[in-house]
Amino acid sequence: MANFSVILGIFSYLDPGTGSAIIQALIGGVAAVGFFFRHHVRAFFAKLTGKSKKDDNED
Amino acid sequence: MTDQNTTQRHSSSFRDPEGYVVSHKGKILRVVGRSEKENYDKLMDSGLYDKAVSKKLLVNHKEIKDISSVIKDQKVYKILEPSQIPIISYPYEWSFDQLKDAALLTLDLLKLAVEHGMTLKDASAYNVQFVGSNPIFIDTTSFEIREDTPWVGYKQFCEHFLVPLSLMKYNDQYLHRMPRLFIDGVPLHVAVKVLPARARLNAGIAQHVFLHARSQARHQKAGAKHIEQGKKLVKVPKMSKFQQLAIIDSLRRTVKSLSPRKMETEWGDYYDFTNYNRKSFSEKQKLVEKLIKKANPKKSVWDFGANNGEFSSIASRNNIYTVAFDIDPNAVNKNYNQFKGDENMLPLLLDLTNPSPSIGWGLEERASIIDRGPSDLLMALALIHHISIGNNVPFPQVAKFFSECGKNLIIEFVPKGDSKVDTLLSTRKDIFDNYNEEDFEKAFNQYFKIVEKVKIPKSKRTLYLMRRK
Repeated sequence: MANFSVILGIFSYLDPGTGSAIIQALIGGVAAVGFFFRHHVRAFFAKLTGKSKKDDNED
Repeated sequence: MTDQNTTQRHSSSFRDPEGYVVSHKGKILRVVGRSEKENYDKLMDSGLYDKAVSKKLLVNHKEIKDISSVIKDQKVYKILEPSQIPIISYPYEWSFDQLKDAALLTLDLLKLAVEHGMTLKDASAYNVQFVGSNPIFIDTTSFEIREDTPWVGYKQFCEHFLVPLSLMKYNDQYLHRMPRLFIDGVPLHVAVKVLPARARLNAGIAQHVFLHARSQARHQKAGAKHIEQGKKLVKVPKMSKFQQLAIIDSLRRTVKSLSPRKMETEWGDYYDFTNYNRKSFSEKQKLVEKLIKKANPKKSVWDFGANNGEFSSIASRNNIYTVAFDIDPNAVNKNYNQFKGDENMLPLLLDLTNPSPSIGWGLEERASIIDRGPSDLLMALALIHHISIGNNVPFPQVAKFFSECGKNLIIEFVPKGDSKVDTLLSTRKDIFDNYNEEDFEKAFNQYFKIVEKVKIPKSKRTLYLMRRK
C-alpha cells in the first residue's frame, strides 16, 4: 500500500505538512481499492453486459 | 525586476516566486520564471492546456512576444496575457454552491493534469475566479510535472474548500465568512472543534478532515523530535498515479456529498410579501430599466441588496456585467444556480454593515470592496430603510459610502408609512426624525447630483437617478 521511501523537501514552494502527506497516502491506499472496483471492475462487467460505462465526473 | 513606470507586481501575488502576476497598462499579466520552463512547456505541449481551456476549466491566454516591454529580467521565461476577469471575488463572498463548484473545478483540473503527467502545486481557492456565474481556474503557473509523491495541495484543498463547505453544511451557512478570518484556509484543528459529531458520519469528512487533523497533530510532534535528534529529512510515502487518482476521486465524492444546511431566512421569499401588487412591481421594473439606460453604464453595474436578482438581471440582460450582492446565503445561492452559465451575472455575498475589507499581508493582499470599484452604476433598491433604520446609519454616511462604490446611483427612497418601514419601527422607538425625503435628498446632494426623480405608481416610494459629483 504505502511505500515509505521518498524524502520530504523535494516539494515546491508550498509546505504540504508531514501529517497531511502521510494520511493522504494511507487514505489513497484505501481509496484505491474502491476506485479500482468502481472504474475497472464495473467497466469490465458493463462491457460484458453491453452497457456503457458511466462517467463519474458527470453524475 | 519590473519596469516601475508601467509594470507593478500585484500585491496578492508573492507566494510563488516562479509564477506571479503583474499589472501592466491596465491589464493583469502572468509572469513565468525561467526555472518553470519545463513545467510550462509540458502544460502547453502535452495537450493539457488545450483540453483544459476547451473544457472551460482553465483561463486561456496568449503569450506576449516582447517580454522586455513589460519586464527587464533575464529570469523571465514567458509573459502571459490571460483573458481578463471583470471583477475579482473572494471565497468568503461565495455562496455554498459557488465554493462547491470551485472545489469540483479544482479537482477536475487536477485529474486532467495527472492524466497528462502533471499535477497542481497548490489548491488555493483564490486560484478560482468567476466570470459571471461560471468558475474558472486562473493560475496557469500552478502546473508542475507529476512525481510519485503525495499531492502537495492536499492540506490546502481541505482547508480552503472541504472545511468551509462542511461548516456551511453541518453548522451554519453564514460561516461562509470564516475564510475572511483565516486567509489561507480554515485550519483543520479549528474545524474539528467546531464541527458537530455527526459530521463524522460522512466517511469523506471523517477521513479528510478528522483523521487528517489527528495525523497532523501527531506528526507535528514527531517532526519536532526528529529535528531535535539532528535528522534533517522526514520520510514520506510514495503515491502512484493510480493512488493519486483515487484520492482525487475520494475528495470529489466527498465534495459532491455536501449540500448547504437548510435555513429560514428573512429574504428568501421577500418579494412574496412585498409592498406592491404585481402591476406596481412591473411598473417599477420599467422605471428601473429606463433609468439604467439613462445612466448608460459601460462596464459594470453593482446591485446592493439584490435579493433574487430580479432588478440586477435587467442590467445583465442588456449585456452589462452585473454583480448582484446580498447578505443572505440562501438568496445568493439561489441566484447563482438560477443564473448558472450567464456570463454577465455574478451573485456575491456581502454584508453592507461590514463589507469585505482589505486583508492579508500589509492589508493589501485581498482588496476591499471599495478598492474593486467604483462601478459605473450602483443600484440600491428597497434598501435604504434596512440601512438607516435597521442599522441606524445616518443618510450622510450612506451617501458617502455609496459615492465610493458607484459613479452613478439608482436608489429607491422608502418613506415612513410604507409597511416595510412601519414593520421595522414596530418593535423599537422611532428615533429617526431625519428619516424623510427632504433630509435624504440633502444628504445625497453632498456627493451626488440628482438627475431624475420619479414616483413609483401605487406606492409611497420614489426612485432617483443620481450622478456622482
